[in-house]
This record gives sequence, C-alpha cells and structure tokens, in this order.
Amino acid sequence: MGKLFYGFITLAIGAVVAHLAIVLLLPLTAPSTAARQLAGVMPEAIASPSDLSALQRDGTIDLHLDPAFRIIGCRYDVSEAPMRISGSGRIDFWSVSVLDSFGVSIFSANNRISPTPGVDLAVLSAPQLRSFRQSPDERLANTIVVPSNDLTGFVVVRLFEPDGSWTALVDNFISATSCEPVPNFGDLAG
Amino acid sequence: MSFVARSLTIAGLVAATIGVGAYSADRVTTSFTGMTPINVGVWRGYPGLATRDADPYARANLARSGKLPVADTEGIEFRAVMDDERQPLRANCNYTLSGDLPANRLWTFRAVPLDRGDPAQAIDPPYFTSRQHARQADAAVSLNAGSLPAGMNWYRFEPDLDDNLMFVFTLYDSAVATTASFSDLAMPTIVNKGCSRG
Repeated sequence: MGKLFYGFITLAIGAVVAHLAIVLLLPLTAPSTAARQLAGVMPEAIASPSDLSALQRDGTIDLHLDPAFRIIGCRYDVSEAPMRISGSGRIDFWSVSVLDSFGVSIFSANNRISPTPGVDLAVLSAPQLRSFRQSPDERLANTIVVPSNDLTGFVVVRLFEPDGSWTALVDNFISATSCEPVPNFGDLAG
Repeated sequence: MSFVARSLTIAGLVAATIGVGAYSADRVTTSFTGMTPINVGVWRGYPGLATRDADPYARANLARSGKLPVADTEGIEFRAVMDDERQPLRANCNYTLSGDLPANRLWTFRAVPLDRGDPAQAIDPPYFTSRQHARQADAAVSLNAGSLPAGMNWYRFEPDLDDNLMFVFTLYDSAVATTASFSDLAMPTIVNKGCSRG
C-alpha cells in the first residue's frame, strides 16, 4: 500500500515537472513564434523596412496584426554599430516596439512621447551605450536611445491607417523610413 | 519481480509521467491565455503581455499562437468570447456593444473566429475604428455587430466566419496598460439582439 502511495506521488511530481518544463520551454521551441516568423521574413539587417501587414495579407506570416494598421519591421544587429531607424512624415498615430531576439518587447513608445514627428530611434549594445554616455554623439541628439542586451532583434512600427484616404500618407511615411547602422560610432570617444 | 519486468515497469511509469505532463501542458497552453488578466465585465486584457513581465503560461500561449502583441506604451488589447449573458459569441447573431472605454487616443474593433482552424479567414478581417465611429450622446461606444445591417456604427460579420467568435478591442495610447489601478475601468456591454438559424 505504502509502495503504491509513494509510486503515485512520484508519478504526480514527475508529471508536474514535465508540465512546467514544457510550458517554460515553449517560447524557445514553438515552431512559429513571432520571433521565428520575423526572422524568417527578415533574415538579415537591411535598410528598407519590411511591410509586415502585406506579408500577413498574403499568408507568409500570421502575427495576428491589427488590420487597421500598417505594420513595418526591421531586423537589427548591433554587434558592429548601433542601428538607427529614422524617417519623416506626419500621421495621426504611430507606435514603435523594440524586441529582443526572442520577440520580447524591451522598449515601446508612441508618437505623443516622441520628440520628432517621424520615428527616430537607435538601438545600442551595452558597450555602445557606455561609449555614448561618456561622449554623446551629436547625430543622436533628438534620437530615442534604446539599450539592448541582445545583439540582434527587431524593431516594429505600427502606423494607423483607418481607411484608404490615409494610404498615401502612410506610404510616404514608410518610404521615408530607413534602418541603418550609425557609421563611425564611438570614433570620437576613442 | 525479475530485473527485466522491473525495468519495464519503471520505463512505463516514466513514459506515463512525461505523457501526462506533456498532455496537460499541451491542453493548457492552447486555451489558457495567462494567469494575470484584467477582467472588466466579459472583457479580458493582459498588460505586460509583450514584455518579460508576462507569466509563463501567457508566454507559452503567445509562442504557440505566433501572435505579436502590442506593448504597453503602444496600447492594450481586450478580448471577449461571450456576451453579457455568458453565452458564446456567434457569427449568426447580432450584437450591440455600448458603454465607456478606458482613456485612449484611438481604438480599433474586430471580430475573429475563435477557433482559427482556417487562419486565412482571420488574417485580414474587417475592422472598425474610433475614426469611423459616430459618437452617441449617452455612451463613448455604441456599435452594432452582426450580419444584418443595423444603422450607424455597423460592424459587419463576414458571412463565412466560423460559428464562434472573439471580439477584440485594441486601445492605443491608453493609460490602462501602465496604470496601477484597474478597479474603475469600464468596457462596453455586449447584448445579443437575436440570432438567425444556423
């Protein structure tokens, strides 16, 4: 009887451990996490942002994006230099989220708290941030500076497009937005 | 008990243990969307869902769904899967949604199939936004959602939507996600105004 009882308890504890292990590992192992989908359509960091809304409409990705928004994204790789996403254009509402390589948001903002009408944000690695603090780079004076522990990740910008009359403005906003490394960063700091 | 029989028993028990754990994890992470929602009437929101603050179950559910949630400073999403009578939302019924919303700069509304068996249906659903909404005197939001035309602020269901629906309100630039108190929040009521057969 005692053996059976202990057997049952061992079984229950084992099942709980297996359950928790699977729940905790799922964000790393699930086949179509947001991060995997983003990495699939943005295999490397390039200057022009990807139109995630268009990729969702044609079925390439399914990120459950809000259809009232045009959503664009860039991949960053700050191992060599900071990545700056900047542009101009005026629309009613935009918001930006910086994701680490697992798709977890490490920073978010919207146009109300941005000093510029368009997006202007730079992602920096920890050493780049230290260098920036020691000798601020003039070029990033009005730029939102976001430190990232991961060297790679994604920046996602959501642009409100309530109806077709906004399409031209949103298109202009997107074509004026680029994601580029900050050249010669930290040279002044030595 | 021989050595072989004992080994087989232990192997069987280990397999059963892992099986039970895996099965329960599979079931829970498919349907359970997180441990710490804000419940406002039939609506549920998950502040911090996009960040490291999300609980392990919310993160596992998110990973399986592939969803890219809005982060807190962007906005917050509220979802409902039943009306005020606690009945499932169905594509063959007509609903009115009326009441207040937490402070926001703009909102969007959409209805998506609850069971996304055919993802193509939900990828580009029709939507309604605060910019199209004609505000009534008595409520911040007054929406008619259904397949039958219904006056102002009509959100039309796609006729081929699956039977059970989820309503999604996304509030952009809302203080909800970043505020500490959720006690005095209001979300619209969802009243069933009648169903067609099906």
